[in-house]
Amino acid sequence: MAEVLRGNLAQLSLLDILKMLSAGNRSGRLDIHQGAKSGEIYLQYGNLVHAVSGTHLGEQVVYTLMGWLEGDFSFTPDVEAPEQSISVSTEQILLEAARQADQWRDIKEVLSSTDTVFNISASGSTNTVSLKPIEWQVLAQINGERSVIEIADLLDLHEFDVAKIIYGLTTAGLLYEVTDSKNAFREIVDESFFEQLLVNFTEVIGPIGPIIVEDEIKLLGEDRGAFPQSKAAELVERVSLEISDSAKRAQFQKQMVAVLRG
Amino acid sequence: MKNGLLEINQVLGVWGSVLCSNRGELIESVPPTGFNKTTLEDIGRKAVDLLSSAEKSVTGSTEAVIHYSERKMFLVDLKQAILIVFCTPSVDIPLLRMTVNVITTRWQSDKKVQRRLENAAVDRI
Repeated sequence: MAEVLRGNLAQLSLLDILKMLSAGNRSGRLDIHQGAKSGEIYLQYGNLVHAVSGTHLGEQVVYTLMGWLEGDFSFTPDVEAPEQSISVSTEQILLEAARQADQWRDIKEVLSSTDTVFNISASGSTNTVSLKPIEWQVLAQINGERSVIEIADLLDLHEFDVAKIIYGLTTAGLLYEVTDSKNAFREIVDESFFEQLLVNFTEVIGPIGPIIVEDEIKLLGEDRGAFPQSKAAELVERVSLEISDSAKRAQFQKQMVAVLRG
Repeated sequence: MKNGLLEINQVLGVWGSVLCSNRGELIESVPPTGFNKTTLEDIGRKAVDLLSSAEKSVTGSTEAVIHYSERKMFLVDLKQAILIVFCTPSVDIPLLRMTVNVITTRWQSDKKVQRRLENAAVDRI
């Protein structure tokens, strides 16, 4: 089963990829990965028939995936959809996706990424503001620490919907962006972590170890010089999956869990 | 077996962990406070159903993370048993998953543990 299309969403948007596959009457599975998150969209003769990401299914997943501005994709042809979760026509989805892509462009003016953190403005709005219940639910979760994506997870809402609400609340003067809060306060792993990771990993997988580690750091969108503690376990787990022998993998994980837990 | 659960509970953000048979019956537990045996077995049965459905689906999943507003439940299908880990939303899932893998790999070569799991298990259809 040959993989015919592979790339990065920063270079080619999901909307453009779907338009291309749909116009070409292609059948198969489109896999999208962003860090630890992933999604799958299935096409049958150019029609979108099924989409899944985590526990979510259906056309809303397609719109959520459209909001991923970075990440990798690959299309594997001739993979059959395990089920049909999309009931509306592909034309309708692509039209709605194009409309949402336009809205994303506006949203991105105040919200550079879904990792952005907001806080409630002390001065508030100069006008009377009325909020819908869902807007109040989002507002109630804003605390200067939670990112847009964390709030979406917490409320089980789609990133796009939360981003749109936060955009509205920010332009109404109720919220402000907490400047680079994650980077300013995020803990960076010590160089000794990488030294131990490379020693342990190279011991089990051989001299290709450092290359795999560097690749995985890049795939996580990070830099070894400022690698966040919050992603250290994810990095270890990802590189450990390269070890095919399950006993050796568990042994490596045991060593690295001890390192991670200090 | 209990030591393994205690090790899992040492992961930051873990409240408690429970091992149920693939019928949902309690085998071993270091549960969070406030959960009695009946509740844990009820959770165990639901976890078995969920993981069986996931396994039968195309994804062939052997684990699941259930998100609640103030907690998470991490479920692992060990075939003869189901491991249920109760956590806070901020738990580091990759760290938890690796810790669980280290412990369950150790259990695989522990005859005493295997015997207990086999005795508790029923064949799956």
